[in-house]
Amino acid sequence: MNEELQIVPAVLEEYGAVTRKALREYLTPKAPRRYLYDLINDYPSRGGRMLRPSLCLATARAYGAPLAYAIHAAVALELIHNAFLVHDDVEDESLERRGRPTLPAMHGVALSVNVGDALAVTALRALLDSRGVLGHRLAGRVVEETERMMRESIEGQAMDLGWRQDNLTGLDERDYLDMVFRKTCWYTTIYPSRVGALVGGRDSETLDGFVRYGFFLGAAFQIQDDLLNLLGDHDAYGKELSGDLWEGKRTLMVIELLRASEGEERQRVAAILARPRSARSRQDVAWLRRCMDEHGCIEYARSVAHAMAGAAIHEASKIYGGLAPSRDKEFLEALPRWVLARA
Amino acid sequence: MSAHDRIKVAVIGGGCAAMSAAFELTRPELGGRFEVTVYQMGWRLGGKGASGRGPSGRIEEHGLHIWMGWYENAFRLMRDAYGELGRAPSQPLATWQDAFSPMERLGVVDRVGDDQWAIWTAVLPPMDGQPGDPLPEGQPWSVAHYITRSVQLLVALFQTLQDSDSSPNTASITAAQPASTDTLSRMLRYGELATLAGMIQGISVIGGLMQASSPVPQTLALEFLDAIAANARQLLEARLADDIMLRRIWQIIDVTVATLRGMLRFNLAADPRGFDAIDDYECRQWLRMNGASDSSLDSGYIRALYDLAFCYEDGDPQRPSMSAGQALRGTLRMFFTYRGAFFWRMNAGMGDVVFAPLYEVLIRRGVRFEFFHVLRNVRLGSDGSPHVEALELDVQARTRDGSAYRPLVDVQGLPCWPSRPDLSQLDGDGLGEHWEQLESWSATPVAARKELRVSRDFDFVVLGVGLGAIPQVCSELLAADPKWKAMTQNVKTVATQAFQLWLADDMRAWGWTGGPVALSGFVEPFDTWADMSHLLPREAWAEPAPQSIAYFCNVLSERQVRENSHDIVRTNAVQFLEQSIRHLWPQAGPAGQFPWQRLAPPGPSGATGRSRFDTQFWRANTEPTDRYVLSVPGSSRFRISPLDRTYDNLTIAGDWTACGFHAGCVEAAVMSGRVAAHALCGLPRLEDIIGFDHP
Amino acid sequence: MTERIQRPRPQRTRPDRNPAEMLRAGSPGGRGNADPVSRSVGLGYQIVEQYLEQGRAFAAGAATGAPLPGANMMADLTSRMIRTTADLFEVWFQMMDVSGSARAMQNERNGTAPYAAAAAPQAAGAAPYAGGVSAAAPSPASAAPTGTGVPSVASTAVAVQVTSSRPATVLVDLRPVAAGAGLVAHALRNTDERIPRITDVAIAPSVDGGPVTVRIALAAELPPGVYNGMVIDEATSLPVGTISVRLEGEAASPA
Repeated sequence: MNEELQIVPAVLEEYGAVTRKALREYLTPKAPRRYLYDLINDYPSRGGRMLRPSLCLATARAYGAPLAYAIHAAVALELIHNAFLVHDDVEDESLERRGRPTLPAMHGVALSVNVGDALAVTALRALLDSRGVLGHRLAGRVVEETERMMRESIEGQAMDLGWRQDNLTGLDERDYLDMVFRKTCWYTTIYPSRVGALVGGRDSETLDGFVRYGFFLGAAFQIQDDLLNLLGDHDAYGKELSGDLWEGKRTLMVIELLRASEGEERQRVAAILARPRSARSRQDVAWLRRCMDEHGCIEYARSVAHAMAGAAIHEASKIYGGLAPSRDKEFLEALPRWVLARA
Repeated sequence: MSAHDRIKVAVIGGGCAAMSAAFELTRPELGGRFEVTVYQMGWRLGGKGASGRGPSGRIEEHGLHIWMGWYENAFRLMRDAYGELGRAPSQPLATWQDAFSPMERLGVVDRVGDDQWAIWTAVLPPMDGQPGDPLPEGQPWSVAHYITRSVQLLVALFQTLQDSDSSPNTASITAAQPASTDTLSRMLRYGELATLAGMIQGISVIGGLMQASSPVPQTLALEFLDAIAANARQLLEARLADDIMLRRIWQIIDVTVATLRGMLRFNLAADPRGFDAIDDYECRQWLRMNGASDSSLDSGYIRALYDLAFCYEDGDPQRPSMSAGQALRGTLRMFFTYRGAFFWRMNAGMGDVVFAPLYEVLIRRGVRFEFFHVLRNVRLGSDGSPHVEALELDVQARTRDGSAYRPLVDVQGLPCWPSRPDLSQLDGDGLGEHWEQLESWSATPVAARKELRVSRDFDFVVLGVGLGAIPQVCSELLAADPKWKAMTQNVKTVATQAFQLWLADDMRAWGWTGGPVALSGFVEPFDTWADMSHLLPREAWAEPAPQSIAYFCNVLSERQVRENSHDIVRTNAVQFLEQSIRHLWPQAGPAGQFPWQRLAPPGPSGATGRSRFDTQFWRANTEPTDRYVLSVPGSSRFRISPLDRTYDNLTIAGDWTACGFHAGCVEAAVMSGRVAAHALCGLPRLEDIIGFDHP
Repeated sequence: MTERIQRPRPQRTRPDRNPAEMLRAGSPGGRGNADPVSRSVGLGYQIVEQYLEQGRAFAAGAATGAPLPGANMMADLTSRMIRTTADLFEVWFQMMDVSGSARAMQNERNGTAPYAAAAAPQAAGAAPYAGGVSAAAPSPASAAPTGTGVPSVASTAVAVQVTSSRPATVLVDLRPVAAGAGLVAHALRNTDERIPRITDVAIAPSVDGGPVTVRIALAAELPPGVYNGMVIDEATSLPVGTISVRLEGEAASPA
């Protein structure tokens, strides 16, 4: 990895550790352990990059705020993220999460949904606790931001699920980006930046710039994630093919394939995507993957991801350009590049 | 199409915007779909562009009007009108080319010390084509295009620097021409020009770097621009202090670099709002943010730009105020998109050149004109979707025989508007004394009241009155609609003042040797002067006729907008002539001793001294509809579009609307009229309203 | 009561200030001629700006009770930003030609060339952020970034050889006409006049259709920074391209 990007894993590690430590206080197991609190701890303990809380903490720090101002929001965000993951796995009927069976796969849908709810409620607790440090008014602003972020994410998830349910194949890139904007960007990048700036004393400033930065960063992140999903497995296992394709997820590559293909080929693509997961064969998935190669869908998505990262760098320079040099600022500015560089 | 099917349109007002709308709605290709009636206060069309013929047939204007070479819609309108008018070749102003002449020389005035002014005139080269010609394929007006042109200008300016030694008093701004490659390579070869070469390299290298589309080089580009500015300053600094020519060029370089820098920094090329993205910034402030120096911002060049658009809030010279977005849009179009000449002058009064032909053509097309009608109230309907239910008007006067008022008079064979109404056509005896009040909102005589009702008298309304009148005539709209209220509060207007001199001898005798010129940036209270001597043949003087004509204009301070504004303007003008004109006209006597006897009165006059000024012409434009529309920062978003359909039978026209170009000028007014016509019938297409979609 | 006549509903209610008018004729929903980069970024900005605009409208509406903007705003915005980045490309291409002939520029604007050429660095596998070829010295690197948009002329192949003890990014822009010409490079200069120039720059002309070779030696004492210079056609004295070096790392101390 490029030298200047090394700062990203370093900061992620540092702020990740801070967040995990604070997170543990909210996840202390108590009764009923077996059906709830042990399960709540499951996903957070599986690790992860801690990108979201780190982004939140780094933004606050870049604006000169102490970590304590942002830690509650960071914890809440991580909890909400895990709540989303649990519900996602239920909704997507996924079998594996970070190399292990998903909660619904192990414990069934009913308990899993409940665990997701509990994670979200715990996040609310963390936000309420932030009143002690931030005061009622600012803490109230953070809660407003959180409500908005959750609403956006849920709307985005609804779009994604709805498209799959109704097997929409007329979607274009605009629809895709719109969905990513709500579903991924809002809680992955926009919210952490905005809240970081907010507690960093920037309530007086317009927070629009963070929506732009966050959107482009998040979009680059999501597209790269989908690319890794498509290509990573392939490289690692030789034959094992993308989980996203199995699930019929509407990634940019799929949208591009639908756009680029015609006639019988397009009908077959649509037909495969229309089937329930269980009815998709290995052959189907391999064929889809081959079509993507033929139509240059992967190259296309890669160039879009690069463009998004470029736009994010530009937006970062606009919002952070005036800040004093700091490690946190460097981190924020390096993120778009790192998003693409990570494997 | 039977009369019954025709859609009745009431056009309120007779200025550029209203006439442009009427012209579009009655184009023959629409097959007479619209039955248009124009309601006009007083005896003449023209609004702020109205003019009249006074004694000796002299032209008396509202102010100084000069057309610019980028007025594509306005020239198109005039070319169509003259075409349709079809005057015989023997008639005066038979064609639009007879009516308008290119004017290449413009001037700015620099302050070089206390009470010391230096004049800089420049010739802008004629550009391909004529305004109003069909545009070449492809829309050339992208921010990208302007960046390129600005870079070309920079290179050309560096070239001018080299050549400047030989011509101390005039410089040719070769803004529109790419640098000659010969000069460039010559500069590159000479060792002593290393810094200049470095600058040009820098400009080119930006290009190379930016191709990769990555954002990183943008900072590099900015670095380069900074370096160019710094290098240019370094190169010139030693000589700047005592070489005013160099200083001027430096100032333009400085402002151009700041503009480029700003366009890149604010990413204007990629902003869907176009230049509106920086509408909230004051122009000078924005340039300063992007590195322009204070001395450049106080240069004659910049002040002239402000003067041209009367950009002084409340008419206060201490409060220059212009939206950076609109300023950039205007300046870039002005310098980089003109065709034919930079300026075009009218070869008679604006009323004669513009509104008489439009009136005659519209009469032929069956448009009815109701003169002496003042709109008092726009009444909203209470049922159904929001709409105008009635228009309440005052009828100022009626004709004796009930037929239509015939407004034009013949001066030297040209149909013209008179400075006074033709009372012989009018009923009622009381008017004689008070004819001037026919153009006054507050004091106008009322012969009758009239109510126009929707469906019966009109189907659609084109509200084409000046912005200043809106609060009075649209009180219901303002009360009901926050958008309208916000518009009237945020889009500002300013009063103006103007005076005209007829001089017994030519300009050389006054010490001006620079040739016919339009010049701005001069001392208050009259910062703009234009030599209008070319109008003499159109007027009807007995011998000895005057030899030259001079027009002056400026804003009028809000403090001076009073009952007696007319007298105040007179005082301003007299004082200006006694104290300041000598800086422009060295032979106009020492301070305090203006040679009043050299003013030419229209007829025998025994007046001497200052009182001889009373034989000349001056105006205070303080009536609500006379007020000039400003482009103050942050106001664009409050403008309402003629396309706004909140009221389903109303559209608006005027240079105060969101018509695509947000500054007070003929072009904006004509654009708004075209957009208003589009709102009523879908034609002209918005894509054909040139500049409507300009960034 | 007679039915009132109402104004037709306008297709749009405001200027479309997208600077890229030329492509508006293209299919609004399709990919048109624009490359994916500019298209996606444009779409992205559209979505964000529209979102922000809706937020503001909502806030304003909440205060005044005015209705929210309709869904046709989406359609209205769709055509706008599609070519933003491509537009930037165009600028830089035209800037490149500042010293060239205006006629050539005109021709370029009329064609689709800028987009095709703008995509070229990608096709050549150049790093997306360096905008050129990263030559990790001392091993020589070669690539063919091209600098003009004349579609009928093949790109000028350029090989770059860098001798340096530190990492450097080199970007060479040559107009295609320069392929066979006798070229000289000016010394590469930093914007800071005090910093020594890079004088060891040589250009070997193309042999038998092979690449034009640019050899640059970077002295160890040079401070990090960007150095630029022009390429001149000796026969005509016309500038035909530029060389830019971005030097990383710390300068070796003279001792």
